[in-house]
Amino acid sequence: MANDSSMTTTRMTWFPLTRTALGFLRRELSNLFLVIGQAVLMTRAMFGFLIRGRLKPRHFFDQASFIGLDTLGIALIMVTFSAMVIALQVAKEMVKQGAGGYVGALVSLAVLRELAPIMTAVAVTAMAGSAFAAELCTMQISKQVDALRTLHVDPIRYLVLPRVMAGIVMIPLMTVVTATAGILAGMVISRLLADIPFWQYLDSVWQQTEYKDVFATLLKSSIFGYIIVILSTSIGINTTGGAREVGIATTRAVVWSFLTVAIFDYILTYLIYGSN
Amino acid sequence: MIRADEKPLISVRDVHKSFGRNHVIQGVSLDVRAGETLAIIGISGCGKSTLLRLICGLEPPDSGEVTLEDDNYGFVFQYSALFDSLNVFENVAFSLVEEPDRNGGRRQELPDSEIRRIVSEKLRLVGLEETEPMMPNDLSGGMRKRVSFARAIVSNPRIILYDEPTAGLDPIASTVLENYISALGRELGAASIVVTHQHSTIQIADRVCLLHKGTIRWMGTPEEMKVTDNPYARQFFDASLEGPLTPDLV
Repeated sequence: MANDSSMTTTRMTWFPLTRTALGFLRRELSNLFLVIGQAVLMTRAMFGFLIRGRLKPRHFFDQASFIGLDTLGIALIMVTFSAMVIALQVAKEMVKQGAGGYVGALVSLAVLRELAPIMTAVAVTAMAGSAFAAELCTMQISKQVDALRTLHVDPIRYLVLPRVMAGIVMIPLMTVVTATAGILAGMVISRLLADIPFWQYLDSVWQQTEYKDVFATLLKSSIFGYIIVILSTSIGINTTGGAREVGIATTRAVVWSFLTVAIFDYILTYLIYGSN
Repeated sequence: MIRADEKPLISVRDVHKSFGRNHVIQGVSLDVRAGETLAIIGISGCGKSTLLRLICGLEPPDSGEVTLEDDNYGFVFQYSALFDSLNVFENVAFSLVEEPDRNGGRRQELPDSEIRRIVSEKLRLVGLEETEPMMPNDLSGGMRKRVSFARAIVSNPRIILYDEPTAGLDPIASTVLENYISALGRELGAASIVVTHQHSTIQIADRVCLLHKGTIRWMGTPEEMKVTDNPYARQFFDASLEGPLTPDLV
């Protein structure tokens, strides 16, 4: 009797919960496909403006400085400390195993191939992606996007194109800076904790790092930049409603950017290194 | 002076628009000529703002035709819709500085001194020449509306569309704005459409068009509205609870 009652309670609790979860998943997936479709259309329109030379340098530099100045500090801290943690974890052990000459290579490859592009992308998503989604969503809701149209200015050319181009250009540049800082931070930690000389660390970095690694980092960062900004702006400019929707759009832009970057990180890494 | 034989600057022919199952505009036709002000009135949700969005191309009609004789038009939004990242000067100067995208056209480049002169002149017209460096968030509702006016008329449009320009303003601020609308219509010889609920704003129009459930129920002058037997116009004008509009009000 007691068992029957507990089964009934469980069924009554879990069935609506499962239905709610499935409904949420279905809604989010349909939203995701909608946003991807809108992003594709926006990309096509942007390409048209770009080949007609309609990107104004002033708009581009405004957005580039926003992405760079607002995000670089946080990206630097994230990548530098992550590189220091790697050096902290492996330097002493590798010296004990007689592989002290490979610490620089290990830190350098980890930072260049993975940490710097991903951490920089995360910092840009959190700072710039969320700001773009919230700003464009507010502009849409307060009819500023309509006002642009009535003044014969295309919102994709004026609002989206400079942001996307700034993302594609700035994130690789920032990644170069954060990767360099990370490798140097690893060098300092290796010297302090495992007594690895600077020249030995740098020699290891130089010997084991290939041009391909640098190219892969720049390519990944550019693609991450495109993904983050096109998703954030697409979600922002296509949202309607009120203050609640601004919050939802901002959260959605950040979460979807993280997920898409993680998926593309695996695909790109496989395409670049997987076949070896 | 409005001439009936003159070609209308705004022409709407049998326009229909639906959002899902909601048939918002159902076969509306109207003309507005140079120097004429048409007030569109009706209860909330009757399709006034949608009609205005159809006229300026913010929404495409499902069927029918909207023709604007001049692509250069101004639009004053209900809540001003000023660009909040730009100051008052930059907002008003926007269409002089930014190249238009429509028709792939490039605007004739004006020297900075000329842009400054035009913007100052338009801001002086609305009594806000001191506010150039201020941000929209620092302005009152009435001031924002006036800046929005200045932005709409900066390129001397021959067509001006107003979406509830006096909504939410005190009676004095409303009168100030209504005087601007009248003066702009006269000075620019523009064809104007004003979507409004307010009696005082209706009085400045040459013609009034009452919209209900997406259909024009009555059209005439403000004077005719006072004496008409049309039950829709009568109920709206008298603000009565009895009449054909009531089922949609309660």
